[in-house]
Amino acid sequence: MTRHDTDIIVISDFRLPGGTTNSLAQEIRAQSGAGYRTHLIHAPSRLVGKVLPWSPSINSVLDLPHVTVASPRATLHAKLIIIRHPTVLESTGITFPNISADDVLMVANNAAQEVSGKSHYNVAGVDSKLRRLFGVRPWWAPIGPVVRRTIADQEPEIQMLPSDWLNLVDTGSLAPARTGFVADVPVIGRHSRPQAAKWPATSEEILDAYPDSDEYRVEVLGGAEVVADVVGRVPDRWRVIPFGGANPTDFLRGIDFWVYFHHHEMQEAYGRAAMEALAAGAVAILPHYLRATFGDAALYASPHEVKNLVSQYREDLPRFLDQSAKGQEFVEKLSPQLHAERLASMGVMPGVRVEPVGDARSHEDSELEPTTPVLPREGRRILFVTSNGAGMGHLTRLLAVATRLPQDAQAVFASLSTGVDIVERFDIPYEYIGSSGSMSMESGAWNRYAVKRFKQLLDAVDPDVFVFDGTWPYGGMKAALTGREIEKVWVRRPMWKADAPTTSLEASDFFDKVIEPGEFAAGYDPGPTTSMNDAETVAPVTLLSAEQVLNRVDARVELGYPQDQKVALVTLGAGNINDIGSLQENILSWFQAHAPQWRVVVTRPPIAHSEASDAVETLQVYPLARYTRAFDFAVSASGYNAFHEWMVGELPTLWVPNLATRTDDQYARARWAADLGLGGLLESEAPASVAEALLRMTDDQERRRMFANLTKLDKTNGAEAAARLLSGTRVAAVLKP
Amino acid sequence: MTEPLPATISLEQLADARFGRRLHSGRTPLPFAPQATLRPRAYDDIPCVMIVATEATRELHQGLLEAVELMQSASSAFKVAVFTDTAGAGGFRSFGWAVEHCFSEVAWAELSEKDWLAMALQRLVWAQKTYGASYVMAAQSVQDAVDLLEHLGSTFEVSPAVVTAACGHLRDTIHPGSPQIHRTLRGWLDGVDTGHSLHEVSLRRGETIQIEIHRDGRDLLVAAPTSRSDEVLLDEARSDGWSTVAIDCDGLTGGPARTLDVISAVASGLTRSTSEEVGVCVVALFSTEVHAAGTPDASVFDASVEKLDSGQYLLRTSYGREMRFAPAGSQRALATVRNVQRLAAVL
Repeated sequence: MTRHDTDIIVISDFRLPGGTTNSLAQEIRAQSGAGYRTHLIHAPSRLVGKVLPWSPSINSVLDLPHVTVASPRATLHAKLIIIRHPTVLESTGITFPNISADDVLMVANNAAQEVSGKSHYNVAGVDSKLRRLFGVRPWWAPIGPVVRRTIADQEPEIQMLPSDWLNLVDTGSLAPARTGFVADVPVIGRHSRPQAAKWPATSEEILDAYPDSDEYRVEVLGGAEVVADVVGRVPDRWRVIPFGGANPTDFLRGIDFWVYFHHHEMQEAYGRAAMEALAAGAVAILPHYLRATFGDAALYASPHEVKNLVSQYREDLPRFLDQSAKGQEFVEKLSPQLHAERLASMGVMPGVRVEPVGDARSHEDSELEPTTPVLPREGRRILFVTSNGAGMGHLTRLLAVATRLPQDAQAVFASLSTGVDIVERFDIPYEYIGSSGSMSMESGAWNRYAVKRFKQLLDAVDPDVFVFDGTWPYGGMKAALTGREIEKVWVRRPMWKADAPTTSLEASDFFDKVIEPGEFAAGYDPGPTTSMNDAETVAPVTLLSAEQVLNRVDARVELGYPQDQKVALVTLGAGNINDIGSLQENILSWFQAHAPQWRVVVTRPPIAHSEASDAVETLQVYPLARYTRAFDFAVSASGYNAFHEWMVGELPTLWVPNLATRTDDQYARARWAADLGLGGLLESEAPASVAEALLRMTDDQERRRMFANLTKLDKTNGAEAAARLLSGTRVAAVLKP
Repeated sequence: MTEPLPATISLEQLADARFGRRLHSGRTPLPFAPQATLRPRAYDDIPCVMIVATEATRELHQGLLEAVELMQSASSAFKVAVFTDTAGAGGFRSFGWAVEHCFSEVAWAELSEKDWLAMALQRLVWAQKTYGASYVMAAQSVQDAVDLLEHLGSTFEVSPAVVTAACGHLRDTIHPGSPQIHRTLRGWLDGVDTGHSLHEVSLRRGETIQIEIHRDGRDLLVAAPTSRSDEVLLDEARSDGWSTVAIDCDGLTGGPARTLDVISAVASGLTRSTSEEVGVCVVALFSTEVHAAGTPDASVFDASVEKLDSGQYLLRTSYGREMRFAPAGSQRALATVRNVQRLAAVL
């Protein structure tokens, strides 16, 4: 029997103001009262852009019996997960890695799309994400017929509960039954937020529904600025109270007819305000489409029919009182008991109170002397600094150089790359520095921070040489270096896009030396660095030289691949600045359909932000280049490192340039390789193009031709020469093709 | 001149002493925001809480950060920066918070002879000032972390239910009874519980030592036993109500000098709190080759040994505590005792 740590896990963005969290709080209150153990998990979403705490209605239920707040990282298995608001689920970055349940319920409390067709959320996408996150087919629970229809319009086959998941009402606020009218003329009222969509679109409709006449009293809670815009004035006879200006319960008890019409392009998903009006005993007059939600609890009309309807009921008090009672009876059914009943109908019963596993309620200016290194040094201390970049390129390139320094030189690293921990594997001291992106800081503010941060670094390391690899030498970094007797070197990768910004090239004057790692595809370099004559160019730099790459047999033994199996490597980059998901899926689908005998392995780079799907065979090793020869071919992004590593390892490759980079011209590299018969170039990500390219790459003869061409390349590793340049030894610059 | 900082004290301990559990008001926070937030500028004026999370408290990190994350998300009353020497370990980046990273102790040893702790504290002070952190949270143990979470909650008016949940979540992430594996000598030696405990310490890459501790009486015998006769002496001490520490130094690299450093550090770490409270002195025994490497930290060694007419030996501390033990027919034990005697004579 499955062990349940709790009965129900409720997930939503608890910061949401208004209806979503109000309704959620009602359900949590009902669950608590019925003895359900409830864990609340907050999922921040794009719906809240401001820095807000949890809503007051959520805070009001936190201390209820059996209610527990839990971290999204907690380990919990529940009978049921209730998620409210599909957009929250759609946009949250939380993955709930250890949260599971027997069943998952997606409460859809707003329409999937508007009448105009504007989409609010993608039903299939949300459904798929739910399955992926929680491993079960979710139930959809629309809060009313309007939402139900919009969901079905998008996905007719979606699994929906047969009954709507009506919002609960605090029946304690039910007003005493009406005994008469509140005034000597009919009192028409409405309560809504002060948005244009909440009012009819035309002056005629507004004045039909809310007459400017002595025969009626019109009371508006929620402001009437929209009326002023549409009608040109706000009738003097109306009494208008701004939104939040009165207690809605008191306000509603002072009206006879709650008349609510809104913009025709909008549809109310539910109508909490209407429900409150019914609870207060007012007779509600609503647009016809809401009949599906409220049935005979309300009256339905078009704006021009309102006056007539009001007159009919005004002239017949018993009829008015009967209608008022129907409305209150309808609301009464939406009691906490309803919630317990519908949970029970899903087989979710209140648990016996036990101590849950993972239950979050277990009852129970420096005054020091600056530090300067005093360790005696035999050789130079070289501080390598890299920018964050789109991949591991800068780090890997500098590691290639640092690991080839003479023994008496000492390397130290600092990097803005989140992949910097890779340096630890080389026993090199390192520090991580947060980039402006990782700290969400504007460049000016970040550079002011960077001045201080780099000064700290330089004081601590006291380097003889400072080496920077990146396309944009930071202002803060340069400021910190200024005035220090340190040799400053810029390792500046070439192959910039022809239209890449060139301002940063002016920084070469700041550096004492510019080292340009060579490019196999130098002849195709269209960029601005080709016209600079400030650099010492070395051969292409790779972490591993050709002789350090394992042979095919050993590489396969280490990776556990059979020697006779055909293996393709798919490595499209970190995917942090471009979307590689759909292309990867296309590639995998093609193999599944047309070359199932191939084993396809996908890399998961150390700095990738998103999770890989469990269904895909992934490989996360560093350096991957060591295993190049384990593969028969690769489908790869054409960043500097991958490009040169696969070339050095003589791996036929289908190149997929990442066109989203700011400066790196991956397309030029890939085109060069294709033109010289060293690999293929995927020009389009359309399935037909992918199929054609893969067909070619899976052709043995084609790969043999590519391999033969690859063997002819000069594989001198420029890292050796760069290391000698940094350690003070002049070397002859090696120019590559 | 600043006093040298003990080799076993953690940055968390120093930070807590320095910054205390109080709000440092009037700080202008660095205008950073969680990574990938939709409206980063909205965080500009939100107070900054700086969490100190070094190798010494690695076991706490995940749970503590998750607990703070829960409190932060429920209140939006503060933003978080993490000060650490373990950028690769904590999974800090998954929280999207700012990370201020300083060289690890092992890395620092490659760069400088100066004390890592002094460097780290200096950097922490700088970071607190630069980030405008109005609260510095440096937990040293699970209970300490719970206390701090509660204090943080009351300081930033986080709902008590959320604080309770956060504390519970933290406890859930710590598994009692799991092997006590440490990555540094810092931060934990002072807090070893009474009774028997076994510890594994990974000091640097590929260097692991085992430490077996019997914490009992006020007197402490620290040994790096290499033979059965050393074990005899430890047994005698334990039966006489002493606390004992046996350090298996086989995994140490760096020769006798390194072994001496480690023994001294363990001895001083274990006795600091005790000796400060009750004035206990310490005896350390170690093998000849280790002793030959140099004189250990003098402040922790204070003893003499004399042979009694009965054939037994008497180990006596300067303040009058005594332990009698038999040579057990072991030349090795005698040799070990002689080392102590010789050391005592030197002192």
